[in-house]
Amino acid sequence: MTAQRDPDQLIRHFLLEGSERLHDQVYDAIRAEIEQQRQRVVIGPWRVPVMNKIVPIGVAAAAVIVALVVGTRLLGAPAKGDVGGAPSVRPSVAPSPSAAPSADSSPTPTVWVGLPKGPFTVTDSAVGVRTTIDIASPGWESLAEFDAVSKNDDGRDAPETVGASLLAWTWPAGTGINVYKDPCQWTTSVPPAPATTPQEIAAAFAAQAETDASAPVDVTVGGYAGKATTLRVPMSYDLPNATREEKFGACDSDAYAFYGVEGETGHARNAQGAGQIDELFILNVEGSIVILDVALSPSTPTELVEETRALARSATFKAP
Amino acid sequence: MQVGLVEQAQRGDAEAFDSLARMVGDRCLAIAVRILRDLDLAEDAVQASLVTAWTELRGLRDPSRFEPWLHRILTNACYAEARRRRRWAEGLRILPDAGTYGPDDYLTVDDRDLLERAFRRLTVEQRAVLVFHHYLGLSISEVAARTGLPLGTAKSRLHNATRALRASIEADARATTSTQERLA
Repeated sequence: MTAQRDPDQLIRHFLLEGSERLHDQVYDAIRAEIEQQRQRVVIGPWRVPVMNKIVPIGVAAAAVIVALVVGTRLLGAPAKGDVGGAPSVRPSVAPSPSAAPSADSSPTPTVWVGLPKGPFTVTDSAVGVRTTIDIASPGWESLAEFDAVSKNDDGRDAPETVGASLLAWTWPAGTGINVYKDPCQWTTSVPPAPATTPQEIAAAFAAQAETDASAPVDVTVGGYAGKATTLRVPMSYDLPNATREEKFGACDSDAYAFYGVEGETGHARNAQGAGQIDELFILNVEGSIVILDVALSPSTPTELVEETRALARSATFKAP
Repeated sequence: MQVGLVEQAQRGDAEAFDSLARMVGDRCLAIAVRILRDLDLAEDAVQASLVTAWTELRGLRDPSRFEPWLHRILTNACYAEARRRRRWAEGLRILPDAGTYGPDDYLTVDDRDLLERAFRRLTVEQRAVLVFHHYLGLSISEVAARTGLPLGTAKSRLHNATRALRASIEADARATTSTQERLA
């Protein structure tokens, strides 16, 4: 039917159908939010005015003078007996949704955004292992549908994102994990037999092409032993201005997949971008496999990397 | 009128911004729903983009370009919403849009079904260029501006999206025909 007709016409008609009205509640929510948020101040004229050649020189000279004056004030040239020096610019320790830079020197109250401090159950399954982590700092958000938590999720993928996540995935005892031999050609590189123990899974990652897995090391989390290894997605998949699917367009189903689960169609875990780093803690919790995945980007700040690792190490488990 | 409201809002007038939001909100929602294929996600994206527009409004140099500027923010908000929901694994798909369809004699029920399925198979970025081009009727250069893409990338993305959509529709149509033949 549709094959005989102009696809552009079909698309146009399809997209033109329907009408939407934004609910009043959404407008009300927007109004409430903007009344809490200041507009970002933009410094400078909208347009650069036409200037003769003398003016830029004058402006540049004035800028140098201003910089010298400001620099002297900020850095301070403490006079004898001047123990206070210049007023310091105190960075805010509280995350701000508006992300407006603040040079406020007044004390900043701590604003706790996202999950509250304390224990948080990431994986709450009636059949699997229940995984609980200890939230110790603000800014973590739950991604309940993925059994994960994330921080600084800016919607970008590695290598650009500055965020980090912790995934806590679990499977019932006896489940086999198919670590693909080649994460790009994953549909045709399923191992002949799935791995069922942390040792086998880590060994399979060590043999995986491209991900440059680190040598597996022993690890204990929440009293349960297992293996730890780190995977890295090659930067060769980084294409400017490309979508995730375009970046991995040479791979099966446009996806770069680390592993799948025996008996399930498709892969289980795939990469989000080039340069992505996945630190895996593969544990045996009373027969069930638990994989804690510290998912990082090369742009993730060191403090957040450490925070995410600490979150993984804080995990405790309750077997079904 | 819109320009006046933008200028008032740029001076911090929340009432003016509220009126502005109500003027453009439905259109933003229509775009977001078509890109995300999910009403809840679309509402979240519109809300996020209008709040961002408020905080960044003083950076808008030409008030008459408010809507194109807002659409670019909206596009990024749609990408962020989609990625937040399907970031980690396969098998987690965007849920069906519960919106209502208006009558259009050009399309049959089968057409809609095929197109809906084909559209969902596209990436959110591919859907965005199709929506701006076919729904808003924008030129490729305007599509590029609203999606923040270089012109060449916008062209190739539109081409690839159309090709993927067509291939998907044809594959579905073949599968349906083959099933009907087997059942006959």
